[in-house]
Amino acid sequence: MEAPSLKIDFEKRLAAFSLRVRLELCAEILVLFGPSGAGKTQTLNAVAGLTTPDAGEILLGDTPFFRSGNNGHAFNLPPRKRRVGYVFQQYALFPHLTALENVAYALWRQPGAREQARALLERMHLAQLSNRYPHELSGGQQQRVAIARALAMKPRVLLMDEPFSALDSPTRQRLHQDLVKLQQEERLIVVYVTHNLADAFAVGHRLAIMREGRIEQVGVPEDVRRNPANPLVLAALGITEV
Amino acid sequence: MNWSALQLSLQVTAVATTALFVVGLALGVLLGRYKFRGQIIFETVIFLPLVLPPSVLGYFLLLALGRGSPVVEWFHVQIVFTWPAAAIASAIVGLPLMVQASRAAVASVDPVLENAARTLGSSELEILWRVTLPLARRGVVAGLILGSARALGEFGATLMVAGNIPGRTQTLPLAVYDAVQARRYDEANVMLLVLTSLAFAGLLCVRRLEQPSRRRVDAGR
Repeated sequence: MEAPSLKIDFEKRLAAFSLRVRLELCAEILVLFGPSGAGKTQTLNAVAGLTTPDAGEILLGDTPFFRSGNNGHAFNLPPRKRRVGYVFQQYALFPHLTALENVAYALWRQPGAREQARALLERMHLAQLSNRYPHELSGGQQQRVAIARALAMKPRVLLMDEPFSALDSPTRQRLHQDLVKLQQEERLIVVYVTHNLADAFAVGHRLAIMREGRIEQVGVPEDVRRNPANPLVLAALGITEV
Repeated sequence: MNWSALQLSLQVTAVATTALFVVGLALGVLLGRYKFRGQIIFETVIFLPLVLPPSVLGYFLLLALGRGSPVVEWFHVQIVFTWPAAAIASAIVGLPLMVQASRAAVASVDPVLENAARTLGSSELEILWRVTLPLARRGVVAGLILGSARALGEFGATLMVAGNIPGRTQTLPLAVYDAVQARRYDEANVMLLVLTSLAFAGLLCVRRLEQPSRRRVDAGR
């Protein structure tokens, strides 16, 4: 079965600048790379439905998530109906629930929720920690729980906001490998936000360079590095050491 | 011991506490999570009973519930000088404490957790029930205890709106006043002990709830 594509095309006025994003994604890992405050998180939030764009369209296959009309009326699918997995920057695990309960959160109305959640934790190599609370887990373990929780709804799209930025480099490497594998197995559309160029090159099938609300260049990471489209991209790539 | 006053006090406090839980929690969630026009004015009105003289509050309640008020004229409900009037007075003086505590508790829940729940398919009501309130529960319970303790101790407004009718509207604080006036000190002392113990136990619970829990309840990081 061919995975549907995600079409992002919207504008939103922010305090400092106006955000204007145009991207089309298939089953791949697209890294959204740029300095802090470039509008990366806002872009993820617009896809998840946590912020409402001023104008434009966001579509997953034939399903509209957001579509602005002529007379100020906009169609806006609420986040709970979008089935978009979101891994937040600080993990955002529910502190009052165990790892297992966190993963089972989205499944609570379904029969066999705990078994499904257990299977997901096993897949993320966390089976033995399922009864621990988030504060009893390391950063890397919390991140794995957050990924398992996002996968519980069987999303087509997975959004990740600086997912591994707080982790040490061996943990990061392992998680990168797992993510690449997971993306292939599930044919997921992954949008991976980072301001770390090493991370961007480690996981990205494609790289989108973002500055002050604009996508400056999109392409295979090596191509972008060899042929930066403009001085802004060069500056963006130069600021961070590879 | 004035058993009828004790029974009446418990009855009034139980009803007031139920009202505090429902109304106070709803207001706490509203004020802790949403911004709206005129919010400051609205909040100030809710907090007025903290500083108004009880007699003024009692008079307001008489105007609201007494003869000529909409409650009597439209619904033909006569509750002035009955124990439900005492329950209303008690709930109103306890409300600011409940609202303040539950608002702070709700506002302290990291909004990112609620956003996470949204992306996991939860409706707003479900988020309140499964995320916000469980995380805010200590503050909510503390506010409820403070509010009920205040409701139990209510004297002035109750006197004005429910009167001081032994066996019908005379709660413990009113009975203490009567006993002291009539120099029945033995009776007053027993009631003193009961009221002070309940207040002490209530405040002790609140202090315990304010201590950080063993299980960290801030956002996992």
